[in-house]
Amino acid sequence: MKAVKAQASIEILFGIGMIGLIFIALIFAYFDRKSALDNLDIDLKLMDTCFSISNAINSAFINGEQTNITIGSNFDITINGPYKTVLVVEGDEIVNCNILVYNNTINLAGANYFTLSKGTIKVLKSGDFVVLQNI
Amino acid sequence: MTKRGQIAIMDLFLAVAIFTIIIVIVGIVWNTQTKRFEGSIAQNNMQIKAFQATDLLVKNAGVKTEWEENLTVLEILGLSTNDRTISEAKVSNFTSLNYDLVRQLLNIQDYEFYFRLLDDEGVLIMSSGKTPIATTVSIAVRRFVHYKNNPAILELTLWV
Repeated sequence: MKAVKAQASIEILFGIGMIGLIFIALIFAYFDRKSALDNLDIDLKLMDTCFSISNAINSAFINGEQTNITIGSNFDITINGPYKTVLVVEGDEIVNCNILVYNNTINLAGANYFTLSKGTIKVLKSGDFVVLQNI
Repeated sequence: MTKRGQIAIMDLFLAVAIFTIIIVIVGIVWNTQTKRFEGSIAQNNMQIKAFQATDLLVKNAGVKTEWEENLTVLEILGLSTNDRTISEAKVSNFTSLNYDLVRQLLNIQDYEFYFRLLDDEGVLIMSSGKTPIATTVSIAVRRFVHYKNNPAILELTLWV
């Protein structure tokens, strides 16, 4: 009887060990997927902000002098004229999108490479230029 | 008793095998859906770029405004004289511009493009760029415009 009981215990231990291994593997997989989903969520928010800014610049340029667009942003934004992009950064996540009027998008100082802080951003047209500023 | 133990472990192996198969299937479906979602994001980005590019073309005269008279002063492309009224001279010069220069000016270097101007019955008036290959991913944006006092359709296709 004792030998049989010991055999059954080993089988149970083996079974528990196997289930434990699967459980650990699933925990790892869960955290890996969760991290990927969290990053994707941030990326989508950054992309949304990026396209808002890029659309506002485009609209301001097209619609002319009377244009005055105000946008709220939860992230810092960099306009990189020489690389023709808007960059939105949060921690390690960086998203960029294109701007069409890259040489003509400037800040109040006239630079086409500049950073705007998170908060409210005003976009307006002045001559051939689109001017962005924090308000 | 030994037999009963064996049956229990067989049951366990069976259960683990079924469970593993289910997990593998879930993983494959997850990866497929993720790739599909990423593809859809990429396609949306392409669509936004195409829309922005056509917006620029149909609603603005370009910088400098009279660029069609002297291509060396061209900084920003634009084909209109008024909102959605296409200039004959501008569009004619646009179609003769260097392909890579247009991609650079419209900031669509990641994509190939095909531009068409059609009359309201869909008859081709003029075109430029590269025709999309059947196997590629492409996005076409159509804008209704006026050309020579008649309704027309400006179409920009981006493809990779």
